[in-house]
Order: sequence, then structure tokens, then C-alpha cells
Amino acid sequence: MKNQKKADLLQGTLELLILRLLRSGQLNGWDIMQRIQLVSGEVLSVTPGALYPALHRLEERGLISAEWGASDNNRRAKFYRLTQAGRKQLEAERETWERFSGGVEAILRDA
Amino acid sequence: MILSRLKRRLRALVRKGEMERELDEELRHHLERQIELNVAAGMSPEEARLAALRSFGGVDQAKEQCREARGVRWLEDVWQDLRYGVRMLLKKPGFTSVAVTTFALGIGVNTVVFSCVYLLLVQPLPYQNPERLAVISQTDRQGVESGVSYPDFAVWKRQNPAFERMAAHRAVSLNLTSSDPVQRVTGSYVSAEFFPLLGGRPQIGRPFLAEEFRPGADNVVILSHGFWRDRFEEDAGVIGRTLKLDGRSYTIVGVMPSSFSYPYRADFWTPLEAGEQAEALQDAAANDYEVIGLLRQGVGVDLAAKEMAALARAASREISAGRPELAVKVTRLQDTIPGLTKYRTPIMTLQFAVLFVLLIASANLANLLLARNAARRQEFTIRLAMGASRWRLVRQLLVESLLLGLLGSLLGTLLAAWGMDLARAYGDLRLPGVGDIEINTPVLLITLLVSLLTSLAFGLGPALTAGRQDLIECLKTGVTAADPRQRRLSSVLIAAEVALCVALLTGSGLMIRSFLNLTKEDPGFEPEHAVAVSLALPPTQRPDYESLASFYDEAIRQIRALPGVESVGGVTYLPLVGYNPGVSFTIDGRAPSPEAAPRADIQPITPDYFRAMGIPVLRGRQFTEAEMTPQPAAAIVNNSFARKFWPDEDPLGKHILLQDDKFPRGALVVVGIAGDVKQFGLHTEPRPEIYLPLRRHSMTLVVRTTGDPARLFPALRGTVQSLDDQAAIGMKTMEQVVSRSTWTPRKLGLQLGMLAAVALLLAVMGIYGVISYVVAQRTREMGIRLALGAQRRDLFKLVLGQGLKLTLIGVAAGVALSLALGRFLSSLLFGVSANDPVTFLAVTLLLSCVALMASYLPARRATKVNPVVALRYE
Repeated sequence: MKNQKKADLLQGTLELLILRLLRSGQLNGWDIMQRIQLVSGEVLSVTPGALYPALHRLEERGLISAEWGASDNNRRAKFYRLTQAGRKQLEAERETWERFSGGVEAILRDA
Repeated sequence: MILSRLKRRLRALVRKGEMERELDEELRHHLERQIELNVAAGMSPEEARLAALRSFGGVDQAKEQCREARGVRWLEDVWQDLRYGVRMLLKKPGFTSVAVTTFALGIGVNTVVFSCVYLLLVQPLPYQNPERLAVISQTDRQGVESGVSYPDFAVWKRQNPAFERMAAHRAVSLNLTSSDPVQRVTGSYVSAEFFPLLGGRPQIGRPFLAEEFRPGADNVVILSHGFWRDRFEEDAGVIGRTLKLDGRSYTIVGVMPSSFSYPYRADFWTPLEAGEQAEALQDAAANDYEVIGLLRQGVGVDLAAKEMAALARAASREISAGRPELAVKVTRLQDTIPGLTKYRTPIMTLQFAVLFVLLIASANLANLLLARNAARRQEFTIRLAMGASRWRLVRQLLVESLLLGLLGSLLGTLLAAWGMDLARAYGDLRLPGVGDIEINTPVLLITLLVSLLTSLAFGLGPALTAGRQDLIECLKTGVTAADPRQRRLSSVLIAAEVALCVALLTGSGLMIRSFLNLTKEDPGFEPEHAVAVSLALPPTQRPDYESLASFYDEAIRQIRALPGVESVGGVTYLPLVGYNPGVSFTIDGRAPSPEAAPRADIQPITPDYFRAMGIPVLRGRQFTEAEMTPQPAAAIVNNSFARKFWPDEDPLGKHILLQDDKFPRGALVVVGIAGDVKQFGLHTEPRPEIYLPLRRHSMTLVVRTTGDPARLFPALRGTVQSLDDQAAIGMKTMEQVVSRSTWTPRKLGLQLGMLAAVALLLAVMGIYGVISYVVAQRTREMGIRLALGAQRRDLFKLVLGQGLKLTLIGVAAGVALSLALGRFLSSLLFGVSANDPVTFLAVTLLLSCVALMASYLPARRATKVNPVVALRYE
């Protein structure tokens, strides 16, 4: 894991990551993609072909909402923010994730 | 939250364009940022753009998935599919109209015919406990069937181990003298148990009361629905009014519902015991009543027959000894209804024919859909490659098929309703059964469902296989060439169509030949220039023979005086109408054998009958006016009679004794021999017949004229009415009588012929369509062949040969099918065998010629292929 090898995202984790990234404020698609790469230390990557459908799915489920605004270099971009329902969903999924990864880690360590 | 989602969905639906633009803009923003990044990393702008697109990984797929992520997609898509489907259908009006018409015809015709079949063959009788109803009759040693006498009936019903209850009735024809002109109406005297047994209750009014059955009670009558409709225009106020039958007043107390029609076509019912003469109720020899019974729970017809035989013997001993012994017969009521047996084969034949047309139509429709969808295969493949889901394509085809199906169903239902009206109006399908024909809803629903499923099956098939082929391969070559499997399926469908078409054509061919054979048959008389005037005089008005004689003598005298009339003769049972009661007789000088007294048809006539009818008198003489007495002493026999009973002797001067209470018992001397007449229809053999010089209350006057017989109608009616205003009159030309007797083969031949014509047309369309399609598919191949030196003649032969091969396979299968079905038809045929080689040969030739013509045009098109154009074609 130390080298630049990129790991594929587990099914469903992309949505969790998006929700987590949006907790601190509104972001557009491009920013989200950059953040995922940056924050994971270039370990995780996501293609736009996967990201945008995921965003639309989350919006459709009412977990995030969108509005148009100006991006860094003054271009019109679509910004997403977490809704109340999204916040709850994030907590729930985060717990699930921690239990899950904790379990995996325990096995990897002790088994 | 639900509200906001709804709002979003509505927005997505209503402002679809805006959503699309936003999606575009969002993704463009992403791409631009990527490009900027790439340029900053030192790429040229063009490189940067390409790299950005590459790293994005399929913009269109991403878009499609984003749209997919929206919950409104399905709604939006259905709407889009619907609009697209309508557009596709409108763009191909030829295909659409053929498909819709095929649907509509199939549904309409099938529903009408199958509703009749259901009514006649499947539906239980509309009476209470139909499966337990039976008719009890008697047969003598020769198997001649008769009814039951009232005294027997009275004993039978008293204590019966087999039947829960029994009822007697007797059909009676009376003159409705309270109408103008006077009408002959048919009804029944019914015993008190009749209505309760069948479970019939009046629709308006009341049932008969117990006291109304007592002898001497006031006359009351219950009307049938049809009679009430035709005579009283469904006026509910008829209850309590009176009508006159044979001059006597009857009070109307009720009207039965339309479903109640027993006995078949009864116009009215009236209490038996009150209406009949007291002597008739005591006459143990008058076997005039039909007895119906409700079998006890669990008792079958066979067991009932056994029980009844014992009971009848006991009853016979009790009532009167020395009567000729009769055997009791028990038949399920269902099996005695004439229409059920008489029309079963024609109706089933028609149903098969319609089914065949429906199958042919479906095969054509399937072929159309197959060909069309093959042409669209590339479109589907490209759309799959563009990220459309398989389900999406299936759904679009589903919508298109459903649109076609619904349009067709709508039209088909209208057509069925209209066809029912037509069937009712023409009366061809108003069969002796049990109530009126109406559209049978389950039948209609099943037909609709089957049609829709056909369209779905063949509409969807191609969508499911579309993606199965290699996308790359398809896109690379742009191949739209037919899938060989599909071409095979098309060929099989066409061959099947041709086979069904052959079966229909041979069926109608055989019927038409039967009809032609029938019209060539000699009925034994001359139907041209003759009118049949059926007369019925109420016996109450003319109780004695003198008054009857004076009426006929005067009527015949006055009619003969009309201009153009050559001769007038009366006959009791008009030939070809299909009825004669027959009599038993003995020949004087031969040992009487009561076990097997011979029987012959009986025919009371007036002297000029043979002349008026054009029946030759072969030997001896005709009757004279002087012989027209209540107790005639002379008889004329027909040729069949003479040959059967006096093969080696001279019949003239021999004596016959009739053994029947309804006819004089004295010896009759044979004074003449007349030519044979086909009493029971053109398809029957003449039977032995005895003519008597005798007048009856119901006779038909045959009037021979020099001119157009129909022009005489008003004068004839006027003459009879001036002599007796209570007489019921019916008039037909003898040619109409003859043509009525060929009704079944003529109608069936015509109907089958029409269906066969439709089938032929469909088959031609099918062959033409498939061959054209194959030629279009093989244009490139043709071009290559031509370029390599093939002769145009060879191509022509190649295409033509293909059409012919399909046809011949179909014809062979069709001939086999026809031979198998022929047995079924043979009871309806006349003078032609079910495997008539002429018909089969003609049909084979016809179909081969037609198939050649259908393949000719596409074949010629094949020879016109320009190799250069063909190779560039794709």
C-alpha cells in the first residue's frame, strides 16, 4: 500500500466518501474527485464516469442537494451540500463501516 | 422530504430540456478543469482535450447512467417510448395499417364465430339443472318415435323412481286472428309442472295459477320474449290484455325472458288441461305429448330408461290392454335440441376456417415484425453501444407492440360488435338453440389476450437477440444481413401459411362443388313459374269437412281465374321443406305382420296438384273432384313405392289399408303412379309415398303461372283473405323453396370461400413480403454474383425457385392437412368425395401460380441489380 498503486473503491464506499467530504461544506464534482485523491494520499481514485452517477443517485435519494454557483476560477458549477437526511445517513453508514473495517482489521491482525 | 422529491421529479419530467442542459454543463465543467490541468502540465491544447476525454472514460455512458439515477426515468422513458412508438408507426403507414387490420380482423371474426360456437356447443342450457333434464318418448318396433298419451303421463308422474318431477307439453300452431294480416303462431300446451321443472319464471307478469289448469278455466297465455318484442314492442302494459288465437280470447298473464325458449321458437304457452278437449286427455292411444322430466339426483339416463320401461309396462296394463307395445326411450334434453345437432358440423367447420385465417394473419404479422426488427437491428446495436440498457430497448419494443395491439384490439372489438349485429340481422347465425346470440365477454377477452401475446412475442424476440451478436462486428461491417435463424423462421411461417390456405381452399372448393352438384339435382318437380301459398285455417271456424271443402273449392276456383294462372293444386307437406309424418299401412291380400307394418310418406292433395307442381304421372290417372270425400277410396303412389312393394306386379288396381288414426281406415285402390319427388331435400333419395285425395286445415296451394310468379302475390293474398279473414297466409316462389333447401352448402361454401379468399390474399402478401425482403437482404450478394459473371437469368431463377420451394412445401403440408380434415367435412358433402382429386389439383395449381406471381416481382427486381451500386449498397 505504500507505493503509488491505486486501490479500487469498494462497492458502496464511494457514496460514503462523498457524504463525508460534503460534511464540511459544499463542493462541486471536480473538487470531490480531487479531494478523494488528495486526502487518500493518491491511494484511492475515482473516475468521473462513476462519480457523477453516484452524485445524481444521492441527490435523487434526497441525501444531498445541489445548486449552481461560481467555482474557484469563476466558472458556473454545480455545488452539492449535505441535507439533514444525508447527515443521518452518514452517521449510520460510518458506524457500519467502522464495525466492518474493525472486524476485518481484527482478523488481519490476530488470526 | 417526500414533497421535495416529488417537486424534483415533476421538475425533471416537465423541464426535461433544462435538466439535460444542466447535466451537460456539469460534465463540461469537469472536462474543462481537467483540460486546464493538463495544459498546466505542459500539453498542447489538443492533446489536453483528448487526454481529458480519455481519462473521463465515456461521456455518453456517464450521462446515460446519470439519467438512469433519476427516479423519474421510467416515467420519462415510457413517455418518450410512447412518442417514439407513435412516430415509428406513423412513419410506416403501410406496415401499421396491415398489422392493425390483421389484428382487428382476427379478433373481430374470431369473436363473432366463437361466440356462436360457445352458445351452441359449450354453454349449458339456460334452464335449472340442465344436466338432469331429459325427454321421455316412445318408439315402436320399427324405431318410429312418438310421444306419450296423457293417461300414461298421468300414471308416470304419480310415482316415479327415476324422475323427481315430470311435465307434458304439446306443440300447437294457431292463427293469431287478432292481428292484421292474420299470422300463424306456434306455441305449446303445457302441464302445470312445465315452468317449475325448467325453472322458468316470467320476466313481467306472473306464472300460471293452479286453478288455470282446470278444464273449463278461462284461457290465459304467457308470451315468449320474441313474440312480445315483435308484436307488442316490449310494452309492459300487455299484461291483462287479450289476444285471439283461432278466434278464441286469451288473457295475457306473463312474458318470459329472452333466454327461455323451450320448446324452440315457441311464441306462447297456455295451460294444457284447460285448453285440450276432454277426450284428448282420456285417449290412451293419442301419443301426442312430449314428456320432459327432471332426473333424480344421481340417476343417469340409462338407469332412468330401465326404471321407465318397467313403469311403462305397469301403466300400460293399468290403462288399457291390447295397445301396440311401445318401448320407452330417455334422452338427455340437450341432445334433442335440433340446432345443436344439425348445425354442429357447419359451425365447427366455420370455426376451424376462422381459426386458420387467424393463424395465417398472425403468421403474417409475425413475419412483418421480424422483417422490420431485423432492419432495425443496427439501430439497436448502436444504441446498446451508446449505453442504452437492454431493458430500455425491450421496453421500447414492448410499447410499440402494445400500441399496435391496442389499436388492433380496439378496432377488433368494434368489428366484433358490428359483426354480431350483422349476424343477428341476417339471421344466418340465429340458430335453434337457446336464447339470443351475443358477444361472449370471456371469448372476447381471451381473443384479445392471445392477439396481444402474439404481437409481444414476435415484437420482442428481435430485441432480445439484438444484443447477442457481437457489437464490434456489427458496427464494423454495418451488417444488417438477416440472421439465418430468423430467415428460417420466416420460411417456416410462410410454408405454414400456405398449408392453412390450401386447407381452406380445398374446404371451400368441396363445399362449392357440393352446392353445384345439388343445384343440378332434379327435385322431381318444376320449380319455375310456381308459387307456394301456405294456408292455415283455424279448425274452430271450420269444424266440418263441408265448410273446409267449400273454402278450398272456392279458393282454387278464384285463383285459377286470375290472369296468367295455369293450374292450382293443394298439398299438405310441401316437398323440400323437410317434413312428413309418415303412415303405417298394409297391402290388401298380403299377410298382415303387426310386428313390421311397412311405412311410407303420406301426402293429402287436391286433384290438380301434379299438374301445378309439374310432377309427371307415369301411369294411370290423377284424382278427380268426385274423389275428394272425407273417406277417400283412391290413392296414387310414387315410383319408389311401386318398385319397392310391387316389383313384379302391376300396382294399378291393388289395395292399400292405412294403419293410422289420423287417416281414413278404408281400403284405397291405387289409380296412378307419379314420378318421385325429393321430399326431404335435394341431397336425399326419394322415399315411398302415398298420395290421398283429401283436404286439410293446413295446406299449401301450389299455383303455376305463365309469368313472373312473384307478381301474383298481392292478388293471391287478396283472394284468400276475401274468403276467410282468419286464415294465416305465407307465400314463397317454388324457386325460393328450392334455394332454401340448399342453404347449408350454399352459405357454408360462400362463407368458406370468402375466408379462403382472405387467406389467399394474406398468403400472397406473406410470400411477396418475405421474398422481397430476402432479395433486399441479398442485394450485395447478387451484385457480387453478377460481377463474377452470373447471368441475370440465373438470379431470376434463383429467387423464383426459392419462392416456389416454400410454396410447394406448404402445399404438400396443406394437402396432408386437408386429407386429415376431410373426414370431418364429409357429412356435409354431396356428390363429391372428401379427397376429390379435381379440387385438390385445382387448389395446388392455383396456389403455385399465385406464389409464382408473388415471387415474380421481387425476382425481377433481383435481375435489375446493378453490380456497382450493389457493392456500394452498404
